[in-house]
Amino acid sequence: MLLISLLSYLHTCFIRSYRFGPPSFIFLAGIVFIYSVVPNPVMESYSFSVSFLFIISTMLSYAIIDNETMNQEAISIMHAGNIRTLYIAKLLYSWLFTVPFAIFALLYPALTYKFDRAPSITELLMSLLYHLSASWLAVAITCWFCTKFIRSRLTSFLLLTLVVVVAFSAQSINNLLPSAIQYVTILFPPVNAMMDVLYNYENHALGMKWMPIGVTMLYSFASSALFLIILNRKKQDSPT
Amino acid sequence: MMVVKDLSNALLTLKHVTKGFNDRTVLSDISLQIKRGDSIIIMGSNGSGKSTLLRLISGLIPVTAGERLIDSTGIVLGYAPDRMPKLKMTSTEYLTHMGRIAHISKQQLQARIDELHSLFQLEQSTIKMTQFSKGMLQKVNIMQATLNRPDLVVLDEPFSGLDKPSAEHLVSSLQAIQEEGASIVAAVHDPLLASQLDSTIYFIRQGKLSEEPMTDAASFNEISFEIVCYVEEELQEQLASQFPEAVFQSSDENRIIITIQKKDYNDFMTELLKNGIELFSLQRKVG
Repeated sequence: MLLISLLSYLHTCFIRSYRFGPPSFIFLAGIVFIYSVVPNPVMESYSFSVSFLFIISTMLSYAIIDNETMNQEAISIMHAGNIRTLYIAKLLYSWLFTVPFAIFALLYPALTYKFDRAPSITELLMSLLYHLSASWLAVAITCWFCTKFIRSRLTSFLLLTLVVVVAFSAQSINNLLPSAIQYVTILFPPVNAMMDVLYNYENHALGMKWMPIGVTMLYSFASSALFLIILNRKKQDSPT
Repeated sequence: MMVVKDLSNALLTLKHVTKGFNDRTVLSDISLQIKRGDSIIIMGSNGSGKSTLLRLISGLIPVTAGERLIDSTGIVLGYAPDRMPKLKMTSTEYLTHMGRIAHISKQQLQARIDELHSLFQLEQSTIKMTQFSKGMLQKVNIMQATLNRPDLVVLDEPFSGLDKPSAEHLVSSLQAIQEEGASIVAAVHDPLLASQLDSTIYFIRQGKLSEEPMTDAASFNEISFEIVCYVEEELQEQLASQFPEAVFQSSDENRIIITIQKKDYNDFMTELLKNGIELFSLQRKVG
């Protein structure tokens, strides 16, 4: 009930801020534009929309997480009882906001015959899971770039952009690194693995098709849990 | 952060609390006990750590050292920050959201919202808070802090930016809240609240908290200056945030009457002159 009240409040604030406008428009227009040329291969196209949704979700959650001013956030914390509950709601809302975009990315090309063949139900369901886990991954990463942790909005935006670029370049970075330290790339957000499996969907066994979803969910859960633990200790700590 | 259930009869106790940011110690060895029905005024100059102390009391920031103890039965805490953001919703919408988050039942919430609007003499209209004056925003700020009938209300500069009639009305509203049984802890520059709420006065100086008699508090800023000038709204907001105790009143021909305390005189005048503000009059006032 508390979460629903918080989600309702966050939704009112975010919708009335109109900060959802630019990323939403970019995503919707981008998807329509990409599919303006037909026909398209099914899973390879979904590979693109997964990565596109990942980027847009970082933009949306970046806007949502700091939508409240520090003073209003203090008030929300007092009413919610603690900062952890408020931020669970913020993370959840950030993800829920991307769900319609995931569904649009999935259904628009399928229902408007933009593919070279009709996608199967299994392909649609798997693609939906890929889209939803990619947007949750974006939320779980973006939360670290809120003003609680990085005061300067410019610095946090540039660092977040860097992390997104690194996430997409994980394989290339892995190839460039000496073999002794290649293991560090497992810390990178697993976007590349998702794109790779979708791009070569037919060539992968069933287990391999599920693996990126599992890895992404695990990574996202660990990232957001760690964020909430640290935030709960730090609270609103910053000089005023 | 140390949050321990207190078995004494105090609502909230700070025991030898120190608070620092990076290498800077803002508050050191603060001990304070807040009992039911108490009214405590925290005074001090800008940057002395008043807001930090209130945020510590509210549990919004962790203590660096020491303990924050709360009543063993649990307490409801209300907090009003120094500035209320201008949200794109009506006061009723806003208070409904805050009340739902605070687990207040639908029926009780509506009744409480009506009651608070009546108490603070604020009309429930379709006007969004973006169009509210500072006084109206401050009323909503205190209304949200008292929405859940708190045991302890923590107010950061409740008179910031209010003209005299609004400040006087706010004092009477706070008295009514106190009569409902709430304890009040407020950071103020003006001893008006202190004198009218029968409060215990504490001063923060060099990060230390000390109890002082009312007469010392009253003499803290008995000399004031009244400036009449024209100030753009943007600069006015900047000045209000920089000098929270300055009182801004609209006058005729778009002029603003600003009342400032003696201790802020130099800094305030420097700021005005730096921004090329031309004065219409400047008057020194005592009392």
